[in-house]
Amino acid sequence: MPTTVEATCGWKDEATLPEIWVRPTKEDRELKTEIEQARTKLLALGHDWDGEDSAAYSKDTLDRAVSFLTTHSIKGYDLCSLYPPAPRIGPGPEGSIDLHWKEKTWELLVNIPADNSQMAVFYGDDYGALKIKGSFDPRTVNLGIVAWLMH
Amino acid sequence: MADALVFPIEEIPNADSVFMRAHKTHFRGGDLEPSVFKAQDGAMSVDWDKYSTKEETKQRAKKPTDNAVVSLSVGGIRKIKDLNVIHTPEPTNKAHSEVNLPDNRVDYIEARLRLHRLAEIVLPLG
Repeated sequence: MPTTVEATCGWKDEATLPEIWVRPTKEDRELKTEIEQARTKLLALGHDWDGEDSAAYSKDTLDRAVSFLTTHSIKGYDLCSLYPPAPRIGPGPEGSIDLHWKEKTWELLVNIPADNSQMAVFYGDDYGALKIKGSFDPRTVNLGIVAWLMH
Repeated sequence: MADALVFPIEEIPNADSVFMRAHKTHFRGGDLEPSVFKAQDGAMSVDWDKYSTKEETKQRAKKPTDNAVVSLSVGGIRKIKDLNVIHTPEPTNKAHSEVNLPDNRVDYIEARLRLHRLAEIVLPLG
């Protein structure tokens, strides 16, 4: 019985990720590619990488972002038999990591903080009146976000 | 020794715009990402277009070739909850201004996404 997100997702460690990703849907391939790019590009950014004194990004923060993504992706599949779309993983403020979904009918931005004692925050809308915003512990599944990703 | 230049602080009209640099890391497949909008000490540095061209804003970067320039309408910024644009001239940059961003992290992330929608790329990378 898998006991961790990585085990549930069929992952062992990042070095062997391409071989053991076990759910080869289009969304999974996109998410895997995005995570691999983030591990390569974000973690290579040192302090002041943009000439504006911006902070570097830690493996711990990226791991928490990946854990959030895999947990919510799996929950989406459990509930809807579909995986949610993959976000773009980007360099957020002060060493935090942004997860950005921009779809035709909705958009969502989630921020995973560098400080693991802080809550993650999110905001999304349908480009109209319907919106979702708040904070949550990124180690838990937020069903509101899962529902938003699958709608 | 000459005295440092001191410029008067002016009110920025809603009809004006501000320029901001966007580092190449904030682009994905040619699209700008909301990660570009972030506060340093509670505010985001921009240049008022009354006193700066987009090219001058680009040239103020440590490495100009790594940066694009986006334009943001001042009135559009002020329509976003809790945001304001204030002229904060510096001795070497009369155009320098600041966009105040919310302290509350939930309001801050909403503001970043709304600023992203407002931004227009006026000087692409390269």
